[in-house]
Amino acid sequence: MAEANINVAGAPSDDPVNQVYRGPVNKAELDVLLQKAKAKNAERRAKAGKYESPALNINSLMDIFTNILVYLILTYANDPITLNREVNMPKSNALIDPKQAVQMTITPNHILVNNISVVQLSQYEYSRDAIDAEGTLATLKDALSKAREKQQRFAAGGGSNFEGMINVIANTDMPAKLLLRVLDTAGQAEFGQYKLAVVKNK
Amino acid sequence: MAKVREPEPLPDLNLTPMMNLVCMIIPFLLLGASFVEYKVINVSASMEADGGGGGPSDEKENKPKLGLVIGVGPTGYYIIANLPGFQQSESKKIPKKGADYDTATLRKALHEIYQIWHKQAGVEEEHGATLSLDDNVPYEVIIQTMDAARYIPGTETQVPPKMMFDGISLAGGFQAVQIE
Repeated sequence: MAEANINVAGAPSDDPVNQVYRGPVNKAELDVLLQKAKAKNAERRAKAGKYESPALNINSLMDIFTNILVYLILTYANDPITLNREVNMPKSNALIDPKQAVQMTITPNHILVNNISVVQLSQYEYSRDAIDAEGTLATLKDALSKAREKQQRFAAGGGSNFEGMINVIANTDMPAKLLLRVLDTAGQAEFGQYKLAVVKNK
Repeated sequence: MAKVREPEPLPDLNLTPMMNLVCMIIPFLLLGASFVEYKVINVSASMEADGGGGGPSDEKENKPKLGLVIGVGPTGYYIIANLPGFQQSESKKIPKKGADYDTATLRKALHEIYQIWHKQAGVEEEHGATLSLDDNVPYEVIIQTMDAARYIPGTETQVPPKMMFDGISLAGGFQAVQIE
């Protein structure tokens, strides 16, 4: 049987500080001792019943999540402008905050009123059939008139006045011709306050 | 002596279902949230350029009007106002700088007009202007032009900034003048 002089810290045996366990130890004997210790531990665990992991304290995490949740809900509820993915709005140094109003979005392929497509475009060009005798975009005018009636009912129910406000959201490359046509149509549908939506320049 | 019973400690609240719920709501709200700040610009619309803020055609009032018109064409800006040096026949022209519209020069010219007009005696304060647009002017240029006209230069960082020409009326009918 091979014998080995094992020092606990693996330091030279003549070091007085590290001589915790003195004398030679038989390696086989040491294995037996380790096995006994393991068995004892297992026995103790079995006696204590099932093994339980320490409880994780998630109170701080809950606080963080609650704060994030409140912030996100406030941001979500306060935004009167919902952006279409096709739209790249221009930047501006304007300072007026948007208000809740009828939303008209102009993309290269559609004009949307409250996110419902009402006029089909092809790179900002509309078909001649879309124009009525008054020179307005007929389907747009109908959609805006319906939106206006709805707003008027809401205003009457809430005891306030109908302001005729419309938020216009458009791409940076939309030609002026279409903007003027659309604003003229909105005017025919009795909207009088036009708000051009922009991204705040930082 | 009666033994006083110690109150039993309250059991820990199981927050795991609540955590699950919050973890589900947060990604949903993150998807819908926007981290860009939106603003709006108030405009009115008239189909033909007739002079801003009522213009000289307003016969009800005898007081002179500035009647500021900013033309935005394919080659640059022109400015018409009821002031010497800016009349219809001698409108100030600001050509493009390369591919870009020269908003800095436009701003200086508008500030000059604003100062000259408000130094005159017997005139009303004017903040209106008409943007006379060429059919193909991009929306971004319209916004840039309105930005150049909005604040008195140097007051943008003040709260509130001093307004120059912020009552913008959009109009078609761009006069095809030579801007070079």
